[in-house]
Amino acid sequence: MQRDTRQRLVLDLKNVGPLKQIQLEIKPGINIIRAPNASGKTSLIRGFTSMFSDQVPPAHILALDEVQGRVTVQYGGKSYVKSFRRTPSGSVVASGPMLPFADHRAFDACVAMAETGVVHKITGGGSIFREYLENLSYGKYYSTVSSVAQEIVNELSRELASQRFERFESLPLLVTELTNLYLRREQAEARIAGLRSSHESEVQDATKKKGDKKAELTRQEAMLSELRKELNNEKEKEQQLKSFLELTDDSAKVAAQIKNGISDSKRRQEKTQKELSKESRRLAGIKAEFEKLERQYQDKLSEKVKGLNTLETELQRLNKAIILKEEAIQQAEKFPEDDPKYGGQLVVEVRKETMRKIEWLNKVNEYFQEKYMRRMTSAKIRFNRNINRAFRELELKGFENVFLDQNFGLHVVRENGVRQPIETLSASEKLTVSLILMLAAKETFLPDFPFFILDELTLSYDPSRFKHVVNYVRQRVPYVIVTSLTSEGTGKPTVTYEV
Amino acid sequence: MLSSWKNTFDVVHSELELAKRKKQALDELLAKNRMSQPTYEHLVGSLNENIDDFESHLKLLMQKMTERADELENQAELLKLFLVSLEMRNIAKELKQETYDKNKQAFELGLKATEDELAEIKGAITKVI
Repeated sequence: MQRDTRQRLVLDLKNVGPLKQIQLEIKPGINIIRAPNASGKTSLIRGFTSMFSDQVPPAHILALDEVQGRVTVQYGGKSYVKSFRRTPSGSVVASGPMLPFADHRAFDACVAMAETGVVHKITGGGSIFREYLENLSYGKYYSTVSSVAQEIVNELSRELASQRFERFESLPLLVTELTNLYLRREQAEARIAGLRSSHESEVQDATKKKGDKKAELTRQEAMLSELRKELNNEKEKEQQLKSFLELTDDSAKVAAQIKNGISDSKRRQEKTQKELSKESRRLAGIKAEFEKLERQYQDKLSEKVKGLNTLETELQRLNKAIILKEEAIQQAEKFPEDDPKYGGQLVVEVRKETMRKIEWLNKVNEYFQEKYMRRMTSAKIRFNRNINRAFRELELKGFENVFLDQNFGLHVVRENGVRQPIETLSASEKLTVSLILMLAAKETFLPDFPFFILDELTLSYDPSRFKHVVNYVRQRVPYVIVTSLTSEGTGKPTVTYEV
Repeated sequence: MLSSWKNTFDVVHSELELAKRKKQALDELLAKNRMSQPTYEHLVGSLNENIDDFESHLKLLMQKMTERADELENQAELLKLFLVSLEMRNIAKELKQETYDKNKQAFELGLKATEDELAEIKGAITKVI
């Protein structure tokens, strides 16, 4: 809804550009500010824009040889004063309130100056209007939030990929290496157990052989003892028979029998003696074998297991390597105590928190990207609609259409349907297209802003075209301010009014 | 076809064993206080995923190999029947000696190849069971 702005506005400037002091009255309708070259028309416009936008730097407003200046606007029964002050360092600062309808976007949509904004862009052949629409539709805010979120995500991702986290990222590899060490240790232990078991069975074998030989030896000794006993018995028998023979008559039959008995006993004694000798030799052999086995057994007992030392050394080396690897794992899971940011914290928890932040920021990014796209798409549709209306209502000859495409590229279509590159348009055509875009921008984004300013853009137009364009603007905006070059007058800008 | 299966089977099986051993190593580290619970959970989580993947892959391979083993058993039975039939026809003097020899050699070769493949598959399956 249009605000009632049909009130007078008094503009008072002091030390602005070449203007020492000037007061002008701006009325609803067309206000034409006339003055010769370099007499302060553009400075006057810059000074006025500082009351509703901060796009013109204060240093471009304050007179170069002055330390203080002022722009005063009386509007709606109130006085608004903006002061400019040059600091000792040479920079200029501005202070003071803005007009109630102030909007920084108004400079882009409602102030047509040759050296800035849309006019400057189009006359320079520029054709991409994404940034322009971003600023006007506040899409820039969404894209800024989105960019900041993306920048933080990048920063966090770089952090995760930094050397700080490198040791933690190597944990799976360290665990694999540790597992290999465990496996090698198990193999070494199994081989050691195998060697020991084999040695034990050899010792058991030697013990058994020794035991068997001992038993054989005992049996042999028992047998020899029996044979000796038998021989003694036979000798006793012979003595007994001999004593019987002494008591017996030598011719008697009994004596012959006793003699036979003595002979038999002697034969048996000889036989037993032979057997005794043979078995004694055998016993000696068995004893020798037993002693040999005993020596073998002792040797086996004291013998070092072949290869065991090497394996045990290898096992010790593996155990040390395992301890070192376990320590490395323990160190890798924590940041060093002297880490300035995460000293002593568990990497996994910092990493988890960082990942959570990244996930959240990605959601923020996604949300604002979507908002940005919606806003920009909607802004472009409305903008194109208003361009189209302005274009139709101005009844411009030679053009069929002017519009922004999906990439915010500006297209100018001639009557014959041929698209014409912006840079090939004539100066007046470029100016017309610029004004159409600005009017569309104002209609779309700042429908209540009461001013539209054209600073010295009339040179490209013939008088009738100029009148046609300005009247069109006048129908849509309460206050129209136009600067115009003149060689007449005192040199100070003066205002003429056309309602 | 078998060698490719066997190769994949062997690789998956050894990877599975290694993953299980790694999990065991992590358990030991946790028990020895060489690793904190959060780090353990982080590492064991991805390891469990790997183990699940290997196990399901192995299960699939086992299923295919069992099917192949059944197929080979049928094939071996059929070849044995052919051999018996060949012997009977030979006894009945229905075949020339040369034909008999050729067919016998072919059936025997086929049977041996089938039985070898079957033994290899059964061996691989037994390794997992």
